[in-house]
Amino acid sequence: MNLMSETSNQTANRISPRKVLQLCRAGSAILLILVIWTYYAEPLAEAVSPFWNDKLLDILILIPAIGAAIAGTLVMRQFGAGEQPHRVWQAFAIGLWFWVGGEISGIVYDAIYIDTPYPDFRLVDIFWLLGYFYLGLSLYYQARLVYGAQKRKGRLLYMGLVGLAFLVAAGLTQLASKAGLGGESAWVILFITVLYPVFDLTEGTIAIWLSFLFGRGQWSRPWWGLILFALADSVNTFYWLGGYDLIPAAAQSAMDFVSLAAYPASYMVAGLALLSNYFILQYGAESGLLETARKNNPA
Amino acid sequence: MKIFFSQAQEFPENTSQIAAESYFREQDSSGLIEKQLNTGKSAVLLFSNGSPNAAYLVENGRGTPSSMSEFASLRDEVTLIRAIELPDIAGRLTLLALESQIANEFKITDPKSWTSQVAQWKQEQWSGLAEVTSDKLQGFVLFWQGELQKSDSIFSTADGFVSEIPGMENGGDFLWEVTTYSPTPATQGYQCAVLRLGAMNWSRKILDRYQQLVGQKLLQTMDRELNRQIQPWRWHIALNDSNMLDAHFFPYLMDAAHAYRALFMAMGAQMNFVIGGNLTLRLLSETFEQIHPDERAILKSQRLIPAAFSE
Repeated sequence: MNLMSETSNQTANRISPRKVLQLCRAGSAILLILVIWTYYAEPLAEAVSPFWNDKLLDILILIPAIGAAIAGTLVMRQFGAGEQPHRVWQAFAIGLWFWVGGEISGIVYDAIYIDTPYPDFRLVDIFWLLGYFYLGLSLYYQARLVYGAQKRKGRLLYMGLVGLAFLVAAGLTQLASKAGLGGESAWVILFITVLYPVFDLTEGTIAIWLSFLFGRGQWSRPWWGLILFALADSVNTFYWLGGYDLIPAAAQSAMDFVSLAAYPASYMVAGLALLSNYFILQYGAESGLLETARKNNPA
Repeated sequence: MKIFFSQAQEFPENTSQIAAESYFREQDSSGLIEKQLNTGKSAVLLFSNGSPNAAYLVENGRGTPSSMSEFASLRDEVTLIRAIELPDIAGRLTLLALESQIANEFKITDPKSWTSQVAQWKQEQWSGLAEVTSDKLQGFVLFWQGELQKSDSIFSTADGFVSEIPGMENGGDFLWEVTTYSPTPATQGYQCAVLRLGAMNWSRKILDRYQQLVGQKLLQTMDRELNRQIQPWRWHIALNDSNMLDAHFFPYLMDAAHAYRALFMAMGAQMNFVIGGNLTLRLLSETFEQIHPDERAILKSQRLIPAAFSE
């Protein structure tokens, strides 16, 4: 009882979680507008250089990426190590931190190789691929929790899926190589390039499936970020496969815009959903975020 | 002559029926008024949370339904009026005993015999009520599918009502008379008991599964929220972790179903918000299939079904 009233007092003394969330949503919207404006208006391109305009964009995208990873870590820390959801959100948070690593190393690489071509295999790829692995693991743990699959069987299934993704990527790489895509790149580089959309497609599909399963449930909303990420990447893949040659210029611009907005929005959606879940976990009904559940309950 | 809970503290000697009734009403408490008759019979009027709800004539331990006006009209043949306040659990088990048929009567002389008797009931998956009477205690234990129900176990002792048989470990006071009752399925007492056990078992499975999905903290948040929402009803029902503890005396099936409906609706609304409608329906349906068919049947008869509590 004392603990509860202490929590109530603490909540009353600080800005309410609902307010914090509203501020974060507003901040995200402003940041998204800023990203789009920076891309199209190129404020630093003429004043400094196109490189710095590009870096400004990277840094603007890095902010929600770090925010999402912090929110993921906060959610993860709400669970005891033995609790089943702990591993779901631990894998999710690790995945997001790897992607933060990918974003940062991307900026560093750009700075180092400003005047020279990138090396074939980069650290950034390791970060991205490990990010995919952990986010996929998180999806797998969540699906296993929902369906209650057996541990060993489930693990085999996940490793099987990862193996299948590699096989599909290898097959597609062969096809892409024969079609002359990827230019002079080594086979392994082409393979990694193909691996991204394959992972995107796999994880995006699982995320959509989980989201349908959860309906509009608060718990599954972090996955919506992955769906947006897959959407942003699919535009890039479409471009890389030469799809832009088949569509008119107006459609190309629309797709560019979708890709540009969906990429930072994916971090924002995941981060805001994670933050909301964190507040619900930390403060319960005191967070003011369960009001909807109360309103929906005629009892 | 049958005397219920003989160790319980009685109202002042020869209290009047009216005085006892007004006490129960004012205090919103459960209890019974016993009229001992010069014919060797007795009459019992049961109260649940301040309201009189059933009267019985008791002969050789067997209860026969009577009317409240008949109970009130018993005057000349009454040798003693006894009134006691009862915990709700004692009230509902008394109702069940009065509505059931005596199946067996035997003696237990040591803790070992009791333990082996309980084991035998478990093996037989026996469902029924056992009444234990000795000089120092009297009470009831409900068995359901062979399992002793701790939520439906109560004994009157000199120190008041207790939920576990005292002195089992040191083997003290051991000359028990045990009466077993076979419930009559058509009676309110039995149906309330099965509905209660069904609701408790189903909610435990739901909450267990929900905890697996969302963790301990969100489960506790839901417990607190549900406890807060049902507070105005003043039901003696509380949620604690994965358990729904129902210690309320609902004399009528409709009242019990109303309470559980409100509880499951609040549970469903909370789960819909957190894990979404589809998964809530899935979770409710899966756990519903796991409970005993008799429990499922009575829940269904009251429209307490998964589809009613998910969006």
